[in-house]
Amino acid sequence: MRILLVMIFLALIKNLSAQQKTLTGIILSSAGKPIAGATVLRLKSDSSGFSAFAISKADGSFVLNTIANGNSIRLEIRHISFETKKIDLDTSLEKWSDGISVTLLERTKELQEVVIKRELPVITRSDTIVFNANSYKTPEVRKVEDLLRNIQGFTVDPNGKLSFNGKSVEKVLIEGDDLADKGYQMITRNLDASMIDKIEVVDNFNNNRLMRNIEQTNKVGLNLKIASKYKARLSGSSEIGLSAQERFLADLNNIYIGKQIKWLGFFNYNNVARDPAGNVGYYYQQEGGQTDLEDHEAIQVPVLETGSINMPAIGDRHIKDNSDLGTAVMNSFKLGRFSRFSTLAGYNDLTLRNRAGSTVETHISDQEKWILNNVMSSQGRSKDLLVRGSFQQDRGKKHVTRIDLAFQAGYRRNGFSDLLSGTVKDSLDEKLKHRMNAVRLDWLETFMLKKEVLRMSMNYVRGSFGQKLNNWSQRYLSFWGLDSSYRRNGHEFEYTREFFQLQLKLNGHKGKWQYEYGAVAEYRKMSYLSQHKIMSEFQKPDLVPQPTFSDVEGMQAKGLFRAGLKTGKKGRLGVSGELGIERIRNDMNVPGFAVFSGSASYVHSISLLRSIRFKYSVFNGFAEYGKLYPIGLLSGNGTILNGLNFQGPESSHTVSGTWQSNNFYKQRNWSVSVNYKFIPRNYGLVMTAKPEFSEFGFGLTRNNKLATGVFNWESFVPAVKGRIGSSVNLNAARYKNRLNGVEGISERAGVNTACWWTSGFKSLINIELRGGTTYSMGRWNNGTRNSMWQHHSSAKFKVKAGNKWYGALSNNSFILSQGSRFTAMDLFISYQATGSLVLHVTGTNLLNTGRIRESSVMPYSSSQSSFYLVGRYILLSGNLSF
Amino acid sequence: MKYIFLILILIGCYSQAQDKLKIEYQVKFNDQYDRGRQDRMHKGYLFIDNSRSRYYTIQETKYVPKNENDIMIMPDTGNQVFINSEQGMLISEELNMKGNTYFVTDSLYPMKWEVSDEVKKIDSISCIKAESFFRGRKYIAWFTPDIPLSFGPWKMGGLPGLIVDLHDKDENLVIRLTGIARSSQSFIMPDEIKYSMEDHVAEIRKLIKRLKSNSRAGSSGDCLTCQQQSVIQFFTWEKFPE
Repeated sequence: MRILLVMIFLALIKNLSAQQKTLTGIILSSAGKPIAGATVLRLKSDSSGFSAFAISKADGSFVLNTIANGNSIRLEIRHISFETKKIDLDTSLEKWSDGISVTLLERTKELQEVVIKRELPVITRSDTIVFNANSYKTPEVRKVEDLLRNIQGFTVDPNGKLSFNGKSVEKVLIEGDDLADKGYQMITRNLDASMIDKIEVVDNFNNNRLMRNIEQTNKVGLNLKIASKYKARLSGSSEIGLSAQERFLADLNNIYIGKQIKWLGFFNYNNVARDPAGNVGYYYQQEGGQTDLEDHEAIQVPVLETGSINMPAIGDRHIKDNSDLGTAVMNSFKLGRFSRFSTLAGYNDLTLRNRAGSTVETHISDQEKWILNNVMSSQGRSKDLLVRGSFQQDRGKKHVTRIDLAFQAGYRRNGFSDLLSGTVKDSLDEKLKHRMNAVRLDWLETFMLKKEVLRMSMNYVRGSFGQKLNNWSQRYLSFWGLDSSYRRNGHEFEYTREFFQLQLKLNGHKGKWQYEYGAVAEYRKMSYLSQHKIMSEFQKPDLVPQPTFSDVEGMQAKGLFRAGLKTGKKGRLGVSGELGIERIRNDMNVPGFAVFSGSASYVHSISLLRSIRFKYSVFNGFAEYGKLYPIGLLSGNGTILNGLNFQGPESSHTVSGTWQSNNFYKQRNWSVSVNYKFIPRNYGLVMTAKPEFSEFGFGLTRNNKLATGVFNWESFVPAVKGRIGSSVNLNAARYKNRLNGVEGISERAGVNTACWWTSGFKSLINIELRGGTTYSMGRWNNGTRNSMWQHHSSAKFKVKAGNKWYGALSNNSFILSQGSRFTAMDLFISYQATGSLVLHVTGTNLLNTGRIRESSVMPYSSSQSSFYLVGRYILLSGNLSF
Repeated sequence: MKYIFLILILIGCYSQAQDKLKIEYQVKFNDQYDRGRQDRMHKGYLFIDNSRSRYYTIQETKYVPKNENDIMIMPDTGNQVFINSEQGMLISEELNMKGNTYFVTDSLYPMKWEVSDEVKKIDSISCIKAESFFRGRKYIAWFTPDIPLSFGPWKMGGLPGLIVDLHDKDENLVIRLTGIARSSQSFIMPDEIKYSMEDHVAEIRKLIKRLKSNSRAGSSGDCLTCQQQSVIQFFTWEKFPE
């Protein structure tokens, strides 16, 4: 009966199949039962896949389309419960036009049960983005910093500072705990990436629990989640490396993550250009340095730097005499239910040596120019010690106490020799000793009131910095019709700075409004002591040490407010302002003046990763308070310049607009930003040379106009099976400049372009190609003009062989307009010997050609430096995780 | 530990009568689709019993309203779909405004797949890419002919192999296979079918129309000078032409 049904079925579809170029058939079991759900594949002639398919229906029948008459075809019939069967058909034969009948045998082979455990690379939850670290690990990733570079949207600057989607990263937490404060480079540059399970990016980050959702911070926090197998036990990794070219690397980092105690320690000693500490000395600026008003965005764009071109630091990064030893221990202890105490101790010992030759051409005026040929060698060693403690107490839901106490001491020793020829003849050999120490105390109390949050804070900073210079120099200076010769043999210098601040702030919200208002009182004091000895033709007999003492006090009181208004679901309008008075007591006749700043902004957040921002801000005051104080220049060439002056507070206006879009799902990231800044008043430095000249060097500028534009775009493009990216960076500046007493107009403009293509990470062979050009020009007083360009290109080939072997070969080339060029090749091979041991071969600057040079151009001068030492080595290393 | 890995366990021979499989998926669903981003994780389960299947999801991440005006109506299990391929029947679970569920019959695999030459290995499974535009969204599926089952998560299927990965173009919905195991669990196909898909869509349209007209009436009322007018927007995952 069943056979009869089949025959009727086949007869029914005979004509249809012939006309529509289809193949019909029926799938049966060996018992003659029709098989439903079997897949019928028409295989391609080269067996590379299939060109058509059909699925059998309940009665076992199937209809396969696009069968060309006259061709021989191969079919494959599959079913989960039956053996796969392949059949060859000659469709020109008449019998197949009636349809085919295929019998499958029951499966005798065992079928596999499959368990796959994997996670999605990105998950977005409200204002938090969670990255699954494993999705971004490649064989070249060793430290957390390398891992973050692989994640779309992160940028890492040369000092290790992070930003995500254009927002600066405020802190890097480990399992929610703040171990390193703002010096998070110690974590990101030392912690082994293999220990990281997830990276949480928290937008609108606020370290103060009570301030979350009350204060808009525009900052991002990272929380590193440690993989479970590294938790609640002492774990870590160690890397040892050696090279025949006198190179070495010793790296140990260990971690303990428990409920009560968190501990992270690292030790790294190397001369292969790894900066383990992220510069422990960085803390000096934070604890006792000069940057007081770092939050004022109006001062973030340095006018005098824009327009110069700097070569990537290929040369000095691998000089074998340079070594870096960094070690630090960070702890966090949970004390009871609400309190936590954390400590950090770090030590860094950095040795740097360098030799360079440079030529600097400075146009004093259209008729006169200086040419200085310099051969310099320098060597230095710095030792920095940092100890800091932090106490945080969360008393229930309504009160948070946070006390930070930090201490840092540093010692640095530098040697410098200089042979100068050209307009100025000079020989110098000097030794410098620096010592510094700083202490900082921050005390913050936060109370949740009925409708508002009250913050009371006290900050005290005391820092001192001293230098002692011993040198022997013979100088002969001849310029501007003046001849002088002198020798110098001693200089001591020290300044101490104190800062005390009280703040009272109230935050709250009402309807769509968020607001903040408060008052700030500050007291500053800077003491400066300098004494030096100079022997010169003009000043005979030898001078006895001449002490110069300066004592400056400043007091400031101001009120502040901030307000934010939600406009619609996605917009936010913000205004802020500060207004106060400042009184200064010193010997430079700075009168009391009003300090004020204000801003108006609008942010339209289409999503967490897409936003457009506009901002206008105005600022009046001392952006860098230290400029008020006289500071001597202590370089060999600068000892004649013993004064630094600043004429009055500056004001600035800034307008900016930024579009940022980061789409992980389309693997596309692009941003556009424009920035215009106008500083109508004085900005910059004036160096006074006493007693010979009233003013020397480049300095004070007025009516500064600065515009920058940045465009970045990177996306996965299916057509090229990889990522394509490009960036354009434009800048232009115009200002009145005062050079050696002569005032004129300076103009400069620059453009930096780059584009790249990189194939995906998944296939066996990957290629990365990059290329770009930088052009910069400067003009002084509509006359003297300098320009330069630089081309750079790189190619990288990556090969993955199985799960154990990985190799990468890259080539970097730079060509500069002055005829300088440099090419170098880097090699990297890794072999996963066991689950926890990886062996590396790292070749650096192999097959290099040309000289490494560094060039810069300014409106009135150009310089070109050559570094003599080029590192070339192969390092063999092994990394063990435990 | 959480790195992709694969465990192969050998199990006994199948007979056709014992073709019961439990297929697990990891599901990421952006419940703010077309309006923003709020990914929530779910577990997806596909039970296959010969020619029948049942698919449903259970949320792992709780729904957090983006603002206080948001109302989300959802059952404990979501996206429940039954298939009987012998009868060419697909039954999906739908919700009304009260949060009550009912069953609707739909076409079995009406989407037209374009199978490409693109091949990739997902873990150790060789997969082929297929794309389809289905009810307003473009879907990309990776299926494996090595597992000759035409089933897949949700309403997706009809390919010559099990769907291993599935996502829409904007990755509002991402479904990834995490395991295949033998199962003893059986299920019963729902027998109370309330609507066909055409009727269901017609009911939704009626409801939307009524709500929109109510909204206009409510805001205008007896106030002749009122300028205020509420705007009600409706978002549905499956988009049907007006």
